[in-house]
Amino acid sequence: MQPWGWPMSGTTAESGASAAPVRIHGQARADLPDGLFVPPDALELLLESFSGPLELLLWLIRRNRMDIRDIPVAEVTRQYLHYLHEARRRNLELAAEYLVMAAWLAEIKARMLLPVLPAGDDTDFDPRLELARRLEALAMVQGQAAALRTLSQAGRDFWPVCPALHPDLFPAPPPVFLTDLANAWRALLLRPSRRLPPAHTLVHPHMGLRLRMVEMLLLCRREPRPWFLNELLPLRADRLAVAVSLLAVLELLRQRALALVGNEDGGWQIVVPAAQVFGS
Amino acid sequence: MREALLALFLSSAEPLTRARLAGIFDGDPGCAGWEAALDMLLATGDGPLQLVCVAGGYRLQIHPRHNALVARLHVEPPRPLSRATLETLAVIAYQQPVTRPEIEHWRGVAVSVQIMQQLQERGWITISGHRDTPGRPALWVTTPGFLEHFSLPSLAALPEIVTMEEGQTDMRA
Repeated sequence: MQPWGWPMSGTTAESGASAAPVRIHGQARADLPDGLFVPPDALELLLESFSGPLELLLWLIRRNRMDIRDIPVAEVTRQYLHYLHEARRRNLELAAEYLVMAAWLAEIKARMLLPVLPAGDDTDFDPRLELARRLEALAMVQGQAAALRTLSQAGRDFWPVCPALHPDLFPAPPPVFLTDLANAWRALLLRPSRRLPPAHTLVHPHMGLRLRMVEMLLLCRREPRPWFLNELLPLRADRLAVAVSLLAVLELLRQRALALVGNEDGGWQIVVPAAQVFGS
Repeated sequence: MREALLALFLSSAEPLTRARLAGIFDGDPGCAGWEAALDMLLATGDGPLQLVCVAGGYRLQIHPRHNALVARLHVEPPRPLSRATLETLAVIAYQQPVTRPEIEHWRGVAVSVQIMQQLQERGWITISGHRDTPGRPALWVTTPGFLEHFSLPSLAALPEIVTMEEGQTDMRA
């Protein structure tokens, strides 16, 4: 009995007033609302003109001359889903919000079907209230936008007098003579020459901290025994290379790729943690 | 006096308020009657010019009887505002100050960055401060430029809202 071939019948559409004739403003109507007629090629245009599901819903409610404060949820949901279904059938891309709205409508209808709790302070709570509020807000904004549209606009309905702009005159430049220029140049030449700040050129093999870390980790894994720090640091290398190696050890320890263990002499050594030996 | 006023208005890029004019004329015994002259100018205009009250001040504009002619000079009319732009502007104008999430709540859709940029570039909206809630969202308000463009004396002169609902006159704010 679904006149528009609704695919998900049995969910929302049937739950409410589907058996009864359509009621609008309390008046029973046997026929379908006129608003449901969809011209075949108007749908694309129509859906694209809506900026969101709320607007589509408001449009539907207005087409059916329904009361925002007393929305026949089942009927509106059916029409709303019909549009969605039509859109999908025509491979129109619909944003996910449209489906969220459909879910919301279904939820509202479901909650309306639940018996109202006899006691409690929210006895007159209507699950449609939040939806009505949001629809009213949108209706209000649309009204405000329509009101703005009626205003005259500069350059379209009236033309203000455009004054020629008079920028302030430049202040007179201070007098400068050739001798001033010569003196300035002399002062520049006599200025004590500044020493260039020392620059260090970093050579790759020494400074590659990451490279050094990898080398060190490989070394430790190859021979999984406790290492002394001295053994890990390069023997014949300049200070920079040693420093980078030390940094690499510290970094590996921080990352817990290496660990410290105490030995019998009361000192400590570096090992690969057990889990990593087996893991690698 | 009339000429003096015209000279000031013609050379000013923005509407002149009474306070501003008073600051210019005060202490000049030759300009004692400027307020009477201003009221006169407001009432009658001068030649093709009329004096109108916008954004709390006064501005000269071409008398509307020449509109058809002037429109021929400015062949290309400004691009009309899109519906989304107009709605966003309406929320800011009527509900200011508002945050962006509030605009989105009112309109029921996300506010695009382009629209906010466009409104800012036109000089119609600006940030007036931040709300003291988590995230300190920016509060948007309209500018005097907005009033000037729509020829409004003040925000109180925004038109009454035209509701499209019948029987919805008791619309809650």
